[in-house]
Amino acid sequence: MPEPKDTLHDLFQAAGHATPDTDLTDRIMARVAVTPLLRPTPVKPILGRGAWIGIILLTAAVLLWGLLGSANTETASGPVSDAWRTVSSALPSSGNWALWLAGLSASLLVLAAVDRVLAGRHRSI
Amino acid sequence: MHPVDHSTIIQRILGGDSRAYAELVRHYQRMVYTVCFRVLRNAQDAEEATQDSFVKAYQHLAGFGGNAKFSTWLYSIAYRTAISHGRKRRDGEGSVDELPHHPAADPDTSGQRSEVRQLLDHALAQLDPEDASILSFFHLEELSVEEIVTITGLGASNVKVRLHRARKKLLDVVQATYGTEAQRLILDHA
Repeated sequence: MPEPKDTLHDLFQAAGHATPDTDLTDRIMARVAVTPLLRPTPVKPILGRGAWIGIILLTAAVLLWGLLGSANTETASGPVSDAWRTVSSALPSSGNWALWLAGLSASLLVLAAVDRVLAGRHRSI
Repeated sequence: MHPVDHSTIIQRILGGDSRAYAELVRHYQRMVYTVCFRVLRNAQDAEEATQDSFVKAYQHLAGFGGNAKFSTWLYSIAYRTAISHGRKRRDGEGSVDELPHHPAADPDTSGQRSEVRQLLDHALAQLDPEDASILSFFHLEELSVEEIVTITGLGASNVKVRLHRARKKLLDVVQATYGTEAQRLILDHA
């Protein structure tokens, strides 16, 4: 705040506000009458609560399947192990598919988190 | 100026009573016009910018969260609208170094206040329009540096530096051009 004994402050206060034409209010209100109010549209996150839970379950399942599957392929037999061997034989040998899937799931998780943060930020504007 | 219950008026407007907006317009139009005039230095341009500012504020009223004061929010719209008008005018017409021009039929430009206002208008015309606005926010509206930061979007240190330089320059201009006359006018008006 300006100091009380301030020449410039006194000058501004003495001059006061500039004065527009007397019909300015009418002109503004005439424009307002034909102007729609813009209502902020609520933005829902692309991924809802269900998708969140699905991604978490998928991530956990992929990690578990990868860990258990790699431990069981060498010894176990049965429909699950056979399916595991079929899938893993179809994948390129240079890649660790479980790691890739875990990375994909984690990426989805991050994207979902970003989505919710952005939606929350839009609401707070 | 009588106090205005902003939240009640805003609720009425959002409820569909657009005529309630006239109360806000009447209360703030001189302040908004002054902000626009300080930036644009021309009555016609300032009135256009004032109209645009109020229409924009009306359109986005639902987005006014109430986190800041309504006046600060409105000043912010007015300041940015005026700056935008100034840029468009410069782009369209080249450099404009004109003296401030008020309408001839200004009902409040008679007597002592009118003399002081003309003196101030001419002195402020020597300053950068943004600096003139910052001075006006600080000395006329008595806003804090924090509020000026919110309105202008400038950093706090930038506002303080501009304020310091602009004050010094304005004092120099007033003293060099008007000398003791300025002091006499202020004292006479007080």
